[in-house]
Amino acid sequence: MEQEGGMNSAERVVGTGPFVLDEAEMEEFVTSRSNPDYFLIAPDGDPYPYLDEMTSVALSDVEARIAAIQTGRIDIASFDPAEFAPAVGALESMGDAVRMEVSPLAGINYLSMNAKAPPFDDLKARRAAYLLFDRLRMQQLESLPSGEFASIPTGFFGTIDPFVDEVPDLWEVSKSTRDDALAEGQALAEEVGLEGFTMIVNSRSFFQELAQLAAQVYADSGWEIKLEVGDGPALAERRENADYMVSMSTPNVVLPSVSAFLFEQYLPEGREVNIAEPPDVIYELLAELQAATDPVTAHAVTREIQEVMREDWVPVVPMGKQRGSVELIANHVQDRPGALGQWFNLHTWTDVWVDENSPRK
Amino acid sequence: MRDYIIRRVLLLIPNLFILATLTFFLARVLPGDVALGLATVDGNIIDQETVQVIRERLGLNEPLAIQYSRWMLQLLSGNLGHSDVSDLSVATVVAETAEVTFLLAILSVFIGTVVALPLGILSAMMRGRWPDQVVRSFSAIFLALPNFWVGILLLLALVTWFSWSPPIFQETFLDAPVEQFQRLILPSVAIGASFAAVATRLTRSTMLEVLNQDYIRTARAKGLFPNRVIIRHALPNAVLPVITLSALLFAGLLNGAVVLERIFALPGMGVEIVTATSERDFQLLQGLVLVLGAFVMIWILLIDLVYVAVDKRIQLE
Repeated sequence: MEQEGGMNSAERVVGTGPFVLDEAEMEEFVTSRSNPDYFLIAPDGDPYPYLDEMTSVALSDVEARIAAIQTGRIDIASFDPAEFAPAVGALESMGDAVRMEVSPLAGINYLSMNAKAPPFDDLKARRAAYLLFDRLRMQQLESLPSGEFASIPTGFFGTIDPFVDEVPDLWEVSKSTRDDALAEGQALAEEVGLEGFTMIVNSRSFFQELAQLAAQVYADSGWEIKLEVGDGPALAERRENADYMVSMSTPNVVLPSVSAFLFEQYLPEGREVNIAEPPDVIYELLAELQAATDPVTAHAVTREIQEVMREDWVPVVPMGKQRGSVELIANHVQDRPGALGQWFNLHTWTDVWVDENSPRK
Repeated sequence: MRDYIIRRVLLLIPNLFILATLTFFLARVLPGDVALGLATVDGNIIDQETVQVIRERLGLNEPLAIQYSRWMLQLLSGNLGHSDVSDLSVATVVAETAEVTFLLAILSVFIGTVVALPLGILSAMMRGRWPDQVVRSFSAIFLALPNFWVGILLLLALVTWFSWSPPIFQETFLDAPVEQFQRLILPSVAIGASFAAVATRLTRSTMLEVLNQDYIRTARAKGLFPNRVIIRHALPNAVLPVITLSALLFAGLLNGAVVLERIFALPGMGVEIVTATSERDFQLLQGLVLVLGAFVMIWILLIDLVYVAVDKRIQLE
């Protein structure tokens, strides 16, 4: 991996997934062919994948994508959450010619609070923001019209750690604790005199739509959220200069392990530079989690970490599990094993899976 | 004539210099830089060290004056530079995207003009009668409709009625002329329709003005056939403003068909400029703007020369 420039090398795509990169033209297409050394064997004894080659084409406009699948120019079309309505409309108009499938993404969305400046340099303000975010309401707003919601994510060039199920509380609030959480958040907000905040958000429609949903969730709890929209580099500069109250992040990460996931999401040495410094105990707990070899211990330590995160640290506000894309799959493709929509999730096509500890290595 | 052309060509040099300077400094007014973009994954900076390494590698840490001087020297040596993001040379990006942009502009202007001229003439000649009313109504409708929306409607109509949509793979005109034409025809019709709406009204009004001139009355009094009066005497005089409009539209399309390029997945120069701006790819942005600026300036010069060819009364001074 090091010889090839590491996992994030733009020069060489390195992975262990069912497909390998063949040819690509930026913002136009990516052609992949089957990986002859792929480790998974299909139930019929043949090696995956069944397809010899596939091409992903960049069609940024939703109408163009719908037109292309309706006329058979493409076999599978992927739609972002903001495009659910036209995708469902296309499904209805095409009847039995296509099937719709939800392809979930890895990671969760979260709001990063700038702990270097008021009001979120105050732990109480951060706790108020955390508790007042009604994740069940967010889940309702994010669901498909059918009420369907994304499940465990699957990578395209690789798979994820099955132990990811061990961190359920990270993205869910149970109904029994929801009312208590909202009441406590309201009380804390009144104590610190907080009635809302300003959030910076990327101008891409997907991010904006998510931010509007988050603002709606807070509005339902009585807070007012002001959105400031900018493009990537402008927002990165504001984050670098700690010139913001809250920013929204939508990490699209592979989850090689629970501990890696927690590191990725929460530690300041990682991706966010202005989140609150963690208490020392969190390092000990994360080390303990990394050393854990059985799921029961891992689960217990994970819960302990989350307790510290909620009570004594609160670095970010998890918004709930990241909503996936919807895929329309043409009739002639859907009955072929190995050609399921989840294999074609464009959003994760460069994912790799190289976790030494995973039983599926 | 020759002296005039030489003078105008020489005038391109200071104009391009001003354009290059403005582009360089205005691009840097935007917050953020390409290093932040390259070191950012899903809205989060990987780490500050990476940002600094990229800035140093690209020379973004140096004072603006030095960056500007380096770019100017590079331009003087005939090198437009390389993209900070993809490392492709700007010349390569121009070569890859110019075909789509130029073909789209040419086809749009062609469709618009071919539709507008006969309709404008018809409308003028039948002033106040039903063909005039129909043409004016349609031109008002297409004037009001956004061209990208017309493009989407055309696409949906073809899908619904004929189960046809444009090919999705980009090929050059030389390699696959039919496929390239199929890819370009819908956005061209969409742009051409909104252009035709303006040009039809312009043709009609200039035609009406010309038809009231004394020399037209004289031509008619001489007993010339009505068609000959229109084609030989009225049209050449009425067509000048339409040429101006077509020329301006063509120049505008070189930069500006971004929305339709995006909808129809056409990798043109407009989309490339928008992408370079959002990625703060200054080298690519500056190079593309400069090349387009040069194209537009040369184009305007050519139009001035066409004016002289069409109307002998115009002097090149």
